[in-house]
Amino acid sequence: MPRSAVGLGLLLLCICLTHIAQAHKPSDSYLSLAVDGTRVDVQWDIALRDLEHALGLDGNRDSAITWAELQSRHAAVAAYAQARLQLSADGSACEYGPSDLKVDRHTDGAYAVLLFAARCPALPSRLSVNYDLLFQLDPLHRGLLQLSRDGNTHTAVFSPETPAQTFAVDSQPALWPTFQQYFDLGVWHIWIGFDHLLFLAGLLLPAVLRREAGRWMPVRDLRSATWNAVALVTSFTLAHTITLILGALDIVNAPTRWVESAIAATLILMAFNNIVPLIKPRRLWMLAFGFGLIHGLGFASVLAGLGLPGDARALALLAFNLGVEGGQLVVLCAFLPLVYALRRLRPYQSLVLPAGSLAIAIIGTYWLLERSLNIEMRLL
Amino acid sequence: MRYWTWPMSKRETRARTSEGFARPGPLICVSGFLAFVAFSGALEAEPFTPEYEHQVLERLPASNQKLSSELAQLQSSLSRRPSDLQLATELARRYLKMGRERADPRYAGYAQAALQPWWDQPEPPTEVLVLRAILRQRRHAFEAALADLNRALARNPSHAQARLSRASLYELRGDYEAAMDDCLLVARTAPSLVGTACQASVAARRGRAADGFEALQQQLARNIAQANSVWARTVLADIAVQLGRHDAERYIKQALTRSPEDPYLLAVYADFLSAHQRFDEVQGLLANRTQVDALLLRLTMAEAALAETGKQDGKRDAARLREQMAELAARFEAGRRRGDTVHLREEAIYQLHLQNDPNTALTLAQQNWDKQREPADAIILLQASLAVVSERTDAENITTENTARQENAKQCAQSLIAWLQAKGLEHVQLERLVERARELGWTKA
Repeated sequence: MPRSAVGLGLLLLCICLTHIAQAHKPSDSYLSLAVDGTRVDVQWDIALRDLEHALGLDGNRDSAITWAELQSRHAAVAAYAQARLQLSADGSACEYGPSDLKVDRHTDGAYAVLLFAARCPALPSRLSVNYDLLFQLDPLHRGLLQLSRDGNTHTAVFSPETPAQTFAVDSQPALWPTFQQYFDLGVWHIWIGFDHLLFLAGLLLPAVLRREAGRWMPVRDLRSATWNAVALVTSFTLAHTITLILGALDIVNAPTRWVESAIAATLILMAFNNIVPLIKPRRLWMLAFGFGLIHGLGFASVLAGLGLPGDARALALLAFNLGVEGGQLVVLCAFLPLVYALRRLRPYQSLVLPAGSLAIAIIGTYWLLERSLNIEMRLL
Repeated sequence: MRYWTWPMSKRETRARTSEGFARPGPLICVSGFLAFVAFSGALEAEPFTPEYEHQVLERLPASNQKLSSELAQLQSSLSRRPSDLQLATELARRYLKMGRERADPRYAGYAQAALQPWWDQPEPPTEVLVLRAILRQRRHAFEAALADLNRALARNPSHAQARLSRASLYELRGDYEAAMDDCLLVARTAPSLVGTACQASVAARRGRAADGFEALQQQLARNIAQANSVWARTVLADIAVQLGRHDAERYIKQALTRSPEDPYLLAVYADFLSAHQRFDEVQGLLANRTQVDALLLRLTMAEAALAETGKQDGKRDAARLREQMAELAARFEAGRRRGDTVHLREEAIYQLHLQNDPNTALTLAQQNWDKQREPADAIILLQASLAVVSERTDAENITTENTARQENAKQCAQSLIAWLQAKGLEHVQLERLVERARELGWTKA
């Protein structure tokens, strides 16, 4: 049917040429306050429709507001608006400077944007905002506030019922409790993280041995044992710190199931390497590093579940990391002397190492199956 | 913001090195692009300085000079004598009418401002009570509106406007017995068309839709000259749609010709056209009427349906669809920021049909159902429940949480179906959904 096709085409063309009309919505203004020392930078978006209703902007009554018309009423608009907004810092009023005028668009049309600075007599710890724009003319008007300081944002809504609100601006969190809280969380999560501990244990089992002529031999002294262990644990720690930070800040995001399965896989591979050494012991730290990256993502998902405090993220992250490190260190200090003492014993080389690694491999396989296939086997 | 997502699909294995770690190159490019897109999406519109003096920033709502000067006169008189009750109620009524005609919520605010001296009084004059009830109903404060109407009717039982408003409020909340009682009382005092329309509307929700339709049709044939006919014809069109009549379109059009910009009728017509897969006609109907959120929603849904059936041509239409989706999201967000909950039904429809998020849709639909119980509210609630339960969950998502959610959805649907059956509400679309639920074994016949 060619005619309807042409019609449809024309219709579509017409539609393409029309834009989405402005929404009809109740009246809002958007007030943005940025606190910087004793200065508060104000950006206030007020709808042209509302200003027309309140003040009259359409000078020539042609039902259209032009930039020229708005500009000519700049002083009146600024006076009207500023008279209906009071900022005070700890009880003393902040004074307004001269304003700039711009325009912005929101879903329901064009808004006049007033930009000015308010100077407060003192460094505000509590900022009070009294808002009274348009409520007499339109009780359904709402002032939508966004208050920011040093990257922290508060939002609030001003209405005839809540025209005056106060905000605690100086919201430094108590540093030490935050540190403590996240440190404890870090320690706790390494303690209950059996997969991480098992990985460490498996990594350390051969740390007190060295490979000589195709057989395991005990290392000669504590120094080389310690050096081995330290190298392994450090590279593991560095790696999981990196991915923990990346994951916690949401820069890297991996599906939990993948991460958990991968962690189980690292156990298997590491244990396998103990039994059938594929990687030179001197290069084992690379394995520790690579697998540590994966373990770090596991911690990151834990931390994502706990949430980082918005205003002390770096501190919390550092504390959590140190907690994990600290927990590891305790395990290390307990485990290393033990294996060092045992290293000379025949059964250690021929039994403990292979059997222990095999056990780790079996547990790793079980976890891998359970996590990747999402089966609850209820054995462990 | 996520800059780099670990790959999961088999497609990506080519990008892996032999150890199984991903090759960084292509991933970085893709992720960089995604980051750019995400970042640019997150940037809000910046204020700008217009380029030239005569650039039109805003077109005010078109209104004829006589009307706007009258309103301006009334407004200035009122500001000189704010306690003049007659002046105030006159102005409020005019603003209400304008707001209804233009579907523009700002007028409700102006109307409320006119009534400000009496607004917070527990026992204001009766006229103010009725107007206050209407305004509260507009904002979906149904309990408060009902309280006001009860007070008004207690004082003046023969107040037709109040009783009619209360009847429609009861009907909205699904309290059909009380609505019918009020309609019968209205029929005694108001013109016969009004009474018949009121009764027909309620009867249609109590299993007597065909009777109501006939009665109203006959009444309309007798009383064409009456000014109420837009509302009466709207009721007739509604019942026709409910019954699934083949000629429902005729009745919708008859109502529309008398009120071509009525957003409610436009929405009804758009729904009718969409139900009959006539999406391009929906486009033609609503393309220039996107100020009203409900209409933008229906337009976007029609465009999405057209895109799916492949009848659109490529990039330009896809871009427009994306723009519309973004606009809808922005409008719902704007409502959320100011704490409004008047668009729960629309948002539920948006989440289910456009965002494919049945869980959010179900939550919104349940919240909506707690407030209002029109057939359209039942429809979206049942659609959302069915969608939640039939959501295919892969192994990763079989958790106790998901099972609980689906169980909740099922129970929600079951209680809704029981309610519908108890009330006897007939609606072609609802019956189809109930049939689907029956097939799933959720309910006996």
